[in-house]
Amino acid sequence: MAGIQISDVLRLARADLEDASSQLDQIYEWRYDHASTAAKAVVGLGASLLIALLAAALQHGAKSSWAPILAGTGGAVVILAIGLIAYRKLNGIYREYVVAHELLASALEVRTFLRRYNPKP
Amino acid sequence: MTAPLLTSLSVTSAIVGGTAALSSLSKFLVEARRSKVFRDALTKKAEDTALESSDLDIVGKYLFDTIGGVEITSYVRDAKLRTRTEAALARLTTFVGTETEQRLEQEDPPPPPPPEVTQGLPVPAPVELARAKRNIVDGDVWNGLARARRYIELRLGAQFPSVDSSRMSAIGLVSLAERRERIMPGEAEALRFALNVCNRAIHGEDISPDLALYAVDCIEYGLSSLDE
Repeated sequence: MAGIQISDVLRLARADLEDASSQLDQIYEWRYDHASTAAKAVVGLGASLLIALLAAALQHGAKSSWAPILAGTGGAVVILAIGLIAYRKLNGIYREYVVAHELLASALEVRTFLRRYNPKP
Repeated sequence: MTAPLLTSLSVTSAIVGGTAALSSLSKFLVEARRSKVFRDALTKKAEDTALESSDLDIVGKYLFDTIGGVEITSYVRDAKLRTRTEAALARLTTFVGTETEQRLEQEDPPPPPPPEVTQGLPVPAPVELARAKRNIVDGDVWNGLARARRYIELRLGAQFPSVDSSRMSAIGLVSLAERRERIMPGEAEALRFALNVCNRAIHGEDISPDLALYAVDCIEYGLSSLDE
């Protein structure tokens, strides 16, 4: 997912929108939903793999080679950890949201200057 | 679950886990590299080059392409990048002036000085002001007045080397010069009037070429005693 750049906020301030602030709210709401759903999916995948592997290993462990089971469990732990890190990073989106609003407020203070310049699309 | 199925599941899990780890690592490295690229681009030199040009296209390009290219995620996470971006934005806002300042200025605009003040000015005019006038005559009023305002900042800033003139508004520099008697009150008034015209233009108001040229004459008059 491409990140929001400062130029996106400048363009928002430049556009003739009455509710630039609400537009920014919507962008971040969507971004939060997207990141939160992705984090939940990764945590779910990691946890499911881990449980399935551990359960199967307990059941059939003695008959199978341990190397692939250990590698698989390691993989599942990595997936789970990535999901949990992504989950923790959701707080960062809130901080980004606050910063984006601060930047928008500054950009609105120079809105007429921004309008005179035509940035590349 | 049968043993072959357990092995397949283990191998799949290991491959997916490894791929996810590599993908996260590569994303982290790409983000770190991008942050470094922007940190390196946001130098004082680049900032000076953009603002000293007093050219709408160069200032706009610096704002949209150099500062604007910074991702908000990097801005939040990278303290060095944040410091540099904030400094650049603050300086740019001081250069352009805020709409609130502009509104306050408009509520009590300085009166135009009498036309006599611009008579008897030395010929030729300083090179930068001559260029500003050329811009205005060529129809590029924004760049002409931005150049003229920058000239005031540079000339007055040079009078006070101990003051960080890049962080001080042009109006602030005029008041300082007047308080320290580097310029006379009448000259300060002429500069305030000219700055009001410059700021209105920079903020998007249409300024007639005649008024813009008169403002540049007022700047020449306002700074004339510094030459002595």
